[in-house]
Amino acid sequence: MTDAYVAGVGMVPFGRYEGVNEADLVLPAVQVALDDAGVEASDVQAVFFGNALGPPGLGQRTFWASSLVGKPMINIENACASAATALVEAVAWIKAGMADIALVVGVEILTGRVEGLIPMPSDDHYAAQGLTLPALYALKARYHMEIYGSTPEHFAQVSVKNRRHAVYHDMARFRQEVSLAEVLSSRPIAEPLTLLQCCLNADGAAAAIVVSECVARGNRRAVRIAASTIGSGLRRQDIGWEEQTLKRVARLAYEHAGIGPEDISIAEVHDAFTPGELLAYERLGFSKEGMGGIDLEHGRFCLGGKPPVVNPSGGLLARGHPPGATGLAQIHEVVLQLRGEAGPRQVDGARVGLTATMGGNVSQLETNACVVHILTR
Amino acid sequence: MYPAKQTCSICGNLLHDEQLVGNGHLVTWTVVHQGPPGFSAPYVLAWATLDNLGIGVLGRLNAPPGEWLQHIHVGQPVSIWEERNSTGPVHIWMEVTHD
Repeated sequence: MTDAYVAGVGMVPFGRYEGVNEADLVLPAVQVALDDAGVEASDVQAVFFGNALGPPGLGQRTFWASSLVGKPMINIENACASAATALVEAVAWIKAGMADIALVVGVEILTGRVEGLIPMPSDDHYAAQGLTLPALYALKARYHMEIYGSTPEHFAQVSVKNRRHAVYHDMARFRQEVSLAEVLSSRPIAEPLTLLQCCLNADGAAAAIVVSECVARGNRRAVRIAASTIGSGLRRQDIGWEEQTLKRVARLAYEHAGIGPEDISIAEVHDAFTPGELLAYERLGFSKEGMGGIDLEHGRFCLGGKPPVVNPSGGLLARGHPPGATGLAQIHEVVLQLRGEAGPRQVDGARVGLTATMGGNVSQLETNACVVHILTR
Repeated sequence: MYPAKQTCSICGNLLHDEQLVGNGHLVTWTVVHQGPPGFSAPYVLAWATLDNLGIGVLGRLNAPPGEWLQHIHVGQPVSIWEERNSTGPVHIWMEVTHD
């Protein structure tokens, strides 16, 4: 079985775009990825198209006028993990020998369609009790505070760190630092979470070219995909608030890659809300159980510190969050870092990178989808 | 099965309806300041285990947020009941009782 490699990445800055459709954002991102990989659209053999909330058939709607017409085109919806899931599928095709060059896309037009909270389905029992996505993360945070003694400051510190990282990221939506006091005193959303601990709804697109070993041979900028794993969430009823899904999927990824958490130089994790990142420290094995907040307080996970650096891009909190595109934006950052092309936010000697993407609001489950990728030089 | 389902996903048999009512214990909670349409915020949303059925349920506490929240803890006893109308969803309510 061949290995799969990321040969090219591209994205457009995430933010608010007026009067555009998905194709307007996707086509420039795809062109950057093709140029980065040094391949033509006509060389692509299959397209995997991630999107969460847009119309059906979006891949075909986007590419009908391009030279991708007629190729296998697969549309993938897996909530906020749609683009990451599209990558999992592309890797499977490459490994199975069904294609040597695949295009992976993630896109979302969210602003103008959804303002503020992303709504839950109207027949959802939990939504009928008043559950929102930030409230779900707030319940996780409170459980962690009660069991392990973490504090509102620990969660707020995630925003402070990620906004500091984003100062060095030209694609980030927010590039100004915020202080702990500013984060804590911003408008309360669902306690202990405040506004500055919630990612911003955004529009955006990202793309990647995934290739087989024989295509990647001789390409020194190609980054190997050492693990590409996916799971769905366990029933909340069965697991309570232990949030086991990411741990389960990450363990599989480490096993596939033949490495452990201590080998990770950088990680891009799903900080849609700050508890998502703090819990990820523990679930990914960077911190001992219950110690995520303490480790962060002691300066871990920051640019300039010891590995792993978490969310060197600024994460969803600073980049903005187009649900269908986020997974590939995480891959974009890891690929740049592993190539040594991340400019002022380059992590010295980055050799192994991890992405963790969570998606979904089927509230009977911990999450709809959880995807972990490990990439190596 | 919670939330309620009419048939079992494994064997397909019809399931009977249980009332969600009884004593329970708090697991986690939050004060929601920005709720879905139709909810007047702030309100206290909580997850508690319902002792007689051995399940966890999500519901609202029936008191406005206040200083009393400083004194609740994991394992805090609550009473739990449901409110059913002929139309619309089931609402689950909780009230803090004494240790």
